[in-house]
Amino acid sequence: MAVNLYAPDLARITEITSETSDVKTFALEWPGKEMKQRFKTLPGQFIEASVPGVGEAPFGVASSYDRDGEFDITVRAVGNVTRAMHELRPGDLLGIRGPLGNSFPHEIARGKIPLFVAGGIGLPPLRSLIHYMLARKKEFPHLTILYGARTPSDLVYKDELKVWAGDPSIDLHISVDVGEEGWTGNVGLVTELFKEIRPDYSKVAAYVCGPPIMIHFVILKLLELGVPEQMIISTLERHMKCGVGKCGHCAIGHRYVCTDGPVFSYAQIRELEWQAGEKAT
Amino acid sequence: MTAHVPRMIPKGRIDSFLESLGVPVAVPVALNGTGDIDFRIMEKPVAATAACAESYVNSAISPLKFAYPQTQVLWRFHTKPEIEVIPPAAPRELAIFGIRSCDVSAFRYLEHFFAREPKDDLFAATAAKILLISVTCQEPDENCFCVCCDGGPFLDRKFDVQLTDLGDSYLFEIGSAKGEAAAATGERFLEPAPDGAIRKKEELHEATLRKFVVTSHMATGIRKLTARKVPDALWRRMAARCSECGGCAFVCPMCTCFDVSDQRETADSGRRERCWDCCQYSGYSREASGYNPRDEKVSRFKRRFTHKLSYYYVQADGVHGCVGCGRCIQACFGKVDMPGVVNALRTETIV
Amino acid sequence: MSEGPGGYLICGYCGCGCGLHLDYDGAGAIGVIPSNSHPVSGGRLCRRGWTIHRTLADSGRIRAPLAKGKREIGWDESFALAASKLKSTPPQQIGIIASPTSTNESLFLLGKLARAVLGTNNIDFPGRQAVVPTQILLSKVGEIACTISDLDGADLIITIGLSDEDRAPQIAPRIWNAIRRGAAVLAVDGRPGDLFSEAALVLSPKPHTDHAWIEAVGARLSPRFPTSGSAEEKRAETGIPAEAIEKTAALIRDAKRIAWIYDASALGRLADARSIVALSRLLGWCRSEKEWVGVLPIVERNNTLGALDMGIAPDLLPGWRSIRDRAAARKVEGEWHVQIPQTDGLDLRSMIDAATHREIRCLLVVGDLGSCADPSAEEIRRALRELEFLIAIESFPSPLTENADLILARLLPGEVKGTYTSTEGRIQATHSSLPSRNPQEWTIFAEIAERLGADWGYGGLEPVMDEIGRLVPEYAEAKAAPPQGVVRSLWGDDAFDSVEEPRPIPVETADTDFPLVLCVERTYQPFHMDSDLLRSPLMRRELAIQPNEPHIFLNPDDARAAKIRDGAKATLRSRAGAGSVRVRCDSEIARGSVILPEIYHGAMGEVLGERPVDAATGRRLYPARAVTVQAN
Repeated sequence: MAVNLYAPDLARITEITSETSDVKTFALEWPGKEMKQRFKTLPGQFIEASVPGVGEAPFGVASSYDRDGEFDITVRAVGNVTRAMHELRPGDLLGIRGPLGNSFPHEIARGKIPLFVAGGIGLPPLRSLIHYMLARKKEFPHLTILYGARTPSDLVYKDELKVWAGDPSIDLHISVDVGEEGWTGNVGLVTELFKEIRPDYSKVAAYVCGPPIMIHFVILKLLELGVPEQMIISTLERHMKCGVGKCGHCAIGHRYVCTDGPVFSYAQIRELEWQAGEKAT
Repeated sequence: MTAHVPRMIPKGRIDSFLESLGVPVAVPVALNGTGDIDFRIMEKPVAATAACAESYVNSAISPLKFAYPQTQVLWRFHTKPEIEVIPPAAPRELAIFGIRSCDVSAFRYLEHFFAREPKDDLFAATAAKILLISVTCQEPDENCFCVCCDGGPFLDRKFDVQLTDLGDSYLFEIGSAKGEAAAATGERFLEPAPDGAIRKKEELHEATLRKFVVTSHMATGIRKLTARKVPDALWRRMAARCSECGGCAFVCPMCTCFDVSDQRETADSGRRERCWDCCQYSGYSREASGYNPRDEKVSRFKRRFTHKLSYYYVQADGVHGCVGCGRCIQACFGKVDMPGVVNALRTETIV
Repeated sequence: MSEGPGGYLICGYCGCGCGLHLDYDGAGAIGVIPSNSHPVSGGRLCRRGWTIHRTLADSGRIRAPLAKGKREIGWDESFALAASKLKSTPPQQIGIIASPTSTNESLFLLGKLARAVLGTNNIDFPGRQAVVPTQILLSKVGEIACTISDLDGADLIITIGLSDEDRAPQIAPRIWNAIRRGAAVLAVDGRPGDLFSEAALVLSPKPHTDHAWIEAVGARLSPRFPTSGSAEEKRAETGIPAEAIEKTAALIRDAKRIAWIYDASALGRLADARSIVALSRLLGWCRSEKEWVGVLPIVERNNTLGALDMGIAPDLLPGWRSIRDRAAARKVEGEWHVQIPQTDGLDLRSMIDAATHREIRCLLVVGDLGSCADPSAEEIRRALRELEFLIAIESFPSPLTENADLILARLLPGEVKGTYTSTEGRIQATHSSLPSRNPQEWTIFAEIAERLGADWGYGGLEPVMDEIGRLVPEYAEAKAAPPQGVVRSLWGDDAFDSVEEPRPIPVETADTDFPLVLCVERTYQPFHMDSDLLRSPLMRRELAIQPNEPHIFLNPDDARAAKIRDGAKATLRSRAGAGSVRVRCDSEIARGSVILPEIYHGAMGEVLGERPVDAATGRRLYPARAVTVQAN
């Protein structure tokens, strides 16, 4: 049991995979049975990872809770904490607080057409929902995934993408902004991938994650194609510290991205912006 | 909770009463040979009454700091042989004597704020051990405007023990279970309140209401701001006067934002601590990428007052974000403090 | 637990001299309590003052003296080592670089150690050169100083170079008070900033052309005002249009009580002797025509004035006595029972130069030289490499301590006992009673002196303050007036050779190839990157807005004309050289100007090229270059 709301429990790193030159995925497990049972993340929730002495940073859990207390986080080395994390080895302990935040509403996709649109490092949090749905094929028989990255090297989960590409229940389309030698796939923005699919957009439940500018254009596209506002689900990003709705940094209006979010529907984002009197992104 | 019959305590017995509680007592003291007041824990609450008997100006920093300090250790750690997380020192029992109604109101708000799910157990454990023995104000300071904010000068609820100066004695009112317990412990120093004590208190209350200098029409401010009827140019003119010093947040008993940082003490040990933060600082919402959703000072300025006054917050928090203690008026370089801004919103101009 | 170690403190981060107390728990200082009763700060603190306790709590402190290789040694060993090195070095080969952040008592004793024990006048502090123009000004105009509170009585406040509020945050409330009571504010600055958003007028003269607008204004006020050149020529030189000159003159003509505030250590604005002399004439006119005129120079550090009063200069003794004035020097010699070397010592630049050429073999440096503008960081680095022995007195590791042979642990402002003299001349005591394992700085110099055979025998701070009071009488007054001291006005009468008609600094003219004028200003960035400040996590976050790459600031129309987007990388090019910058736009900047925050002057060395020396003062200023900005 953690010392207090702000203190982490300690999970052990079992495996580290290099996804790109600056992105690694950490597979973590809980040493004790109690934490194994207690720690059950819903898709979309996040954790705060601590390197004591350096700091703490939030990461979307990139896997579903069906893995018996084991979970993945995918981390880009961009600041002090993430750089310190990249120095860790399998077997090292990592401070973890969570699960935190709300989760992707998956029930809205039942009987509808789940559509995932991911940009770059936006794929990890969506992966938790993809895994969740893949484990429930009866409820979610078919998934459509549009994934864009800057270059082929920047694609994450490269091996898993191959598995998804081969899975008949998944319709996967990938694009890169800039090609590389050996790349034979699509080149262009992720919004252009919409040309390759033809679902009935009035029945689509869209889950969008990625850089704010990409989310902005994808949402415009989805609205244009006729997806209802409350069926467009995205995440808001803000500087976060405590992750539990107290320090104030992530607040937009009277809502905290860390407790009321990070998952919000487009309809909710618009209402939030109106109440706050400022932009959410 | 049963309705409490008010009691009375002669002034000469206050020190003995406080001592009988058996806990450290924080009282307002003048610091370092100046007229600056701060609440400090005294080993012996000697002459506790002296500082409160006259109309002292309130402390520059709210005594809420005992529940929520400027810097607070969240947990400690060492990293060898493996990471271990160590709890911070356990909070101690404390009584705060001479706290004013505005700060009592704010204390209740902080308890409410930090109790929201997920609950801040560190704050809760600390606050639970603090007993507030407030003294009603009969001589407001020139900056006070609690009367405009439902923050005082006399409270009818929210207090633990509320004292009112009746001359030779204090009226002793109990407002909570903690207050009950304190009264029980110090029973031998209390007497029944004389006839007419309550009426006297109400007269004193009325008399005090007439002494306020600052007025701040909070309801109008809330309305105008919520209705988005504030011209952008007015926000800019007000924000221009903000020096981004952080003072308003640090002196405000209703402000709760904090930053978290790690501090190494030796190569293998250290602590994680939180410290008061201010939303007017440019780095407050700046993201790791460098992108800052509130890059312009005016957006941060607007955000502070929207948070404190907008109806949507009032709905969520139950109260608006000001108790009228007046400290921001003292701390602000540009005089864009709460009454200054509220009046500007009301008159649609700034002096 | 009781009230806590206590002590009324004066903040050490700038010249305002704000009052505060610290809040404690069992472990140490956990917070700051602003002093509502302080006459200048009145309960207000800037973001630096609010963060003092975080710097105190940082564990990266130099905890004990360190010998070469970061080996911790005891104080006894360190005093012995320092004394032996200083003793074995001939006095002309020793240099002392003091800090304008030390207390008066510490500075006084360091000066006494240098003169009376080591026998050298090679003593200076970074930034002293910068206030030379102010010395000229005040010695010419006489008794004209005003305090920060005096600003509340002015009906016209003229500020020069104050757009960055960080320079002296406590000026800001007085500016807003002025606006509120209907007084006029006139700002002279490359970029007015929010503080002057309601000023009656903003002037943005080209660098080093202040003499031109001042003379143009003077000529409008009085036909007998000494000027050279026609009004037309002046306006062209300075870039200020005729209407603005007329409006400035009108504001001055109509006002009865005028306060002038200026950045006394800028190297790009009101920095050259020519401009200072012109201003002194205008002030002289104001003095004879107006009910009241006051001048408030804003110095860089919390004790710049104290350092000057204590004689921390190669040609001064305590109390502004010139070394070459035998009669004055004899008073000091009498008090110190010693003969003082009679020739001027080396100033900071010369000491660094001499160290590079191995003519100075041993330096004692207090504080870090990180934010020194002249000499540059590179020149200092080169000098330190050649130095035989460096004694550094520092609180935290720095590039200086990397090179030091002996590091003595320095106390931070929150731990110090002594007095500081603020920018308005207020001598006030900071009196921490926070326990520390390390000695007060003044005792370090007393101890070294004793080891070198001096017989000072100061039992405590009091006798030191008494001695200062005997040599500088204004300080005797201050000692008797706690807690917020007394304001003194001491700028020396004939401390400076009179300067007749200094030549103006050459200003490059803009042309089609180089259409913009480069202004090096202390704005957009925090004005000095004190390594101490960066020990506070909140300040690290706030000061992180300073990007690592050099930025320049342009008017959006000029950026558009150069086809450069806000935020784009570009090349800044002058006739001297070029450098890579990132461009930001700000509509408050006058067209035709490019602002380079001073903090980047080192990185833009190629663009700045050779720096002009103002012959009258010997200061190296920033050149006024014509530049162009080209998209990459």
